[in-house]
Amino acid sequence: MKIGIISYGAYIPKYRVTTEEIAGVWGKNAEEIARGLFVSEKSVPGLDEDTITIAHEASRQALDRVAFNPRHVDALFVGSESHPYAVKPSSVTVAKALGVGTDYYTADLEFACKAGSAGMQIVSSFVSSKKARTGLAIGADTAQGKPGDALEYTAAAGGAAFLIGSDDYEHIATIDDYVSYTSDTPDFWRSKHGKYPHHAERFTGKPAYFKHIFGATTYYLEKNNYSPSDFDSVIFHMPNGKFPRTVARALGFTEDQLSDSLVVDFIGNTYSGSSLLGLARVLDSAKPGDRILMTSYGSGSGSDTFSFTVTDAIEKMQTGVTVNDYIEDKIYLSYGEYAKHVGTVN
Amino acid sequence: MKKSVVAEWRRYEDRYRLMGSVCLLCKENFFPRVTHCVRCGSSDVRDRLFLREGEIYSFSKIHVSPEQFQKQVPYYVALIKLDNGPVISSQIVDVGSEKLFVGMRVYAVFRKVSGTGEQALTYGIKFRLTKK
Amino acid sequence: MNVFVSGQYMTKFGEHFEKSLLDLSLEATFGALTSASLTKDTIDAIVVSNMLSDTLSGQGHLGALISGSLGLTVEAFRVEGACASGGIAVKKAVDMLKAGTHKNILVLGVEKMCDHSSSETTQALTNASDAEKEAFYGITFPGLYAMMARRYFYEYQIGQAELAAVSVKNHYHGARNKKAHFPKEISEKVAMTSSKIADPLRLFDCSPISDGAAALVLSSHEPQSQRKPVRIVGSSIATDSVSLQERKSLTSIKAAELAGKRAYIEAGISSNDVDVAEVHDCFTIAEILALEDLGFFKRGTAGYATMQKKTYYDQEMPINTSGGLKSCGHPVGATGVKQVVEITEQLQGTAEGRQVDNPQYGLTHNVGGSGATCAVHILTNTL
Repeated sequence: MKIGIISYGAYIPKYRVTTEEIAGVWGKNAEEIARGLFVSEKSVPGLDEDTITIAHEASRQALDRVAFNPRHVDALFVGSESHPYAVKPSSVTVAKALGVGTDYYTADLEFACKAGSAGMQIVSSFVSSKKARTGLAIGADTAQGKPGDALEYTAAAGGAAFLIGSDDYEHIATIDDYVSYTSDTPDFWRSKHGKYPHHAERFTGKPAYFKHIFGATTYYLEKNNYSPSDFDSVIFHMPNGKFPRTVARALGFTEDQLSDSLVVDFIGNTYSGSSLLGLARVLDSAKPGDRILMTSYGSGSGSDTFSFTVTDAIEKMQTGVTVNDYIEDKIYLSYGEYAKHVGTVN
Repeated sequence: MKKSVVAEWRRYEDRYRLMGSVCLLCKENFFPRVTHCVRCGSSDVRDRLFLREGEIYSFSKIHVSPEQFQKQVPYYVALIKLDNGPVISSQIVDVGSEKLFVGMRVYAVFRKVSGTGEQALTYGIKFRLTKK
Repeated sequence: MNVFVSGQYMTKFGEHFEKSLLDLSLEATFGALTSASLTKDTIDAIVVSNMLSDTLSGQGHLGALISGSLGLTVEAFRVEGACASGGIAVKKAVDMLKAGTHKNILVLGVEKMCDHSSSETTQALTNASDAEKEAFYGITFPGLYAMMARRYFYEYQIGQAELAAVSVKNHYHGARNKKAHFPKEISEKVAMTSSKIADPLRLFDCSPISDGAAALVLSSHEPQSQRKPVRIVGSSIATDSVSLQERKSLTSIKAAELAGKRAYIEAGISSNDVDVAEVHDCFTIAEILALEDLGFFKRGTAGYATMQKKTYYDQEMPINTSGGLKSCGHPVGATGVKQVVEITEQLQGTAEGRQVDNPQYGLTHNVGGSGATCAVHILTNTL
């Protein structure tokens, strides 16, 4: 049985704060930071937005795009590192608001920035095992960066949802295969009651991000006998704009294959939403027959690699709101307003 | 008074999804749901999910709020006439430099309404301005 | 059966930090008894009007509290209808006197609001709106009236200047009333540049939070005092939906229209016969709606009439000679009772400094919530 993506939805909050605005507060050189990170502004949640509302909006877009009856959703997984509650699932509120009913498999997922792609693997496996005919895999975050920390320039808000199903449904892209590459790597963590995450600075690069993305991607290519040139588009997790560009080059992908996915340049790192938003943006302009490769990364650490083959059905789906529409619809905040939005001032 | 989580939970269906009622006898629409028709008194009422679009009937920008909304001020509240439903009360969110007016088109979104920290969070339907 | 106002009294409205709910109640009660030249033992029932004592003073059971504090054992109870509690209490006493079961009833309106921060008091007042449909979304009381104002602006093309004119006029009257919470005149500029509360309403469009009490002795027989006898000849209450979203119109208050109509019929007069009125100006827009709901001005014209100063005490239609809720203050449960105190004094010719020229009929209009309850009373000094 073929499994595939039936529909997808994305959501990015309307608010932005620029690198220049943040750097000004801390007396840093904004140009140098923006050049180093390839990030000149990031998305910020509204005062009334959180992982639950972002996950809901992205899911609703996914269902609306194909007029999908929410009662036919058999599984729903929300991946995030900023679930509003420590105990009480985000997923049930998302499902209730969508009108999913009561007969669905669900849980909240957390694996730093790869909880969304982990959800895609779980839903795909549920469908493959025929325990579910369809399911929503959602990655959403309102990421927090400690004021003054390097993360403050990139920790952003947004999410994407993928409705995955069996071949009883029309697919816009089939899921060819997926693998994971995982190890215990302490590059980034947030304690049980901590408000902000800690990170191991330069250690987050080579032994963490690069090793795992490289590991998962090369394993996937070898396993399926693919080479980089077999793909029209590629998506790598985007903690900043520099890392995905570097890893793409190292793996033998071109700037052209990567460019459509780079939402990070406009909105920063949306954590569990990051690679999924990249995939959504690629699908917004994909053509029938396109091959897409995606590798996520979650600190701690692990990477999930997928590849997709776009079908003819994509063309009638490319109506409605695009990721670019969300990127362009924005209100700039001062640092003071930004602090109010992310709860620094209480 | 502290909010009752039970009292909130009872209303999830209408709060989360614009689920109202329609009177099968006189066709009047209600939101939130009712057990009897306010107009004709009939108990022959059914659930009805209203469309998520409508227009502003009236609005205000709140500058002084009750305690649990103090972190949100200033914020817009409004009465919204739903396209296929009644007038309902809610907030208008994500307003930038746009100037609100009576008759302006809006659509429903799912947002956090109140609650922080140790309190249970409440969610509900608010509205966003429709782009031309 | 006639109903007479035998005695009336109001405490100073304002911040009474040194006085409790009971202190204010007893001051008003003994004031009204003195004015009626009656002793407490002649009282055969007590109706107490209050909205917030449970929430703000941790005290319920006000009927017995007052009766017991007076050393009485008479029938006593409290009524509540948000800001219209006072008007309801007066109506209930009128009904009991007409039924012939009682002869002298003490009507006491009292509210103690300044013991708490304004956000706590505002929160308590929000209980008068629909908790699930309105308060849940952060819609405040000023917010509800602001939406009525916004809709009125839209339908009748008026603006903030008309609203400010209401505030300026009521402060002009309040400056002539020693018992007013804010007895001072203000300029249009002050009103129009005051801080925003719920756009388009500003601070000077809103009535204040006040402590205070007012009391009446209502009797089924002509009073013994030397003053002109004043009778209540029309008494009516009407209700509508608590939430605004269920109303057919935001630019009129149906409960007020109905209560007004019923009271006019009972009194056998029309709006043209009214010489002075105390209306419920909890917000400036509310006074404009009241003037139209009661038939004093045509729809859409009350704002302009106010700008033309037609509602000053020495002009054609004197409105809120006490200063109204805006300047005199708004201790919620006391307001509806105080309105009857003011009209009685106008009809007796004792409203020093703001006396209307020889009035014969006066009206009170007391609204609860955003218009869900309205009590209207018509008083006269004619025989």
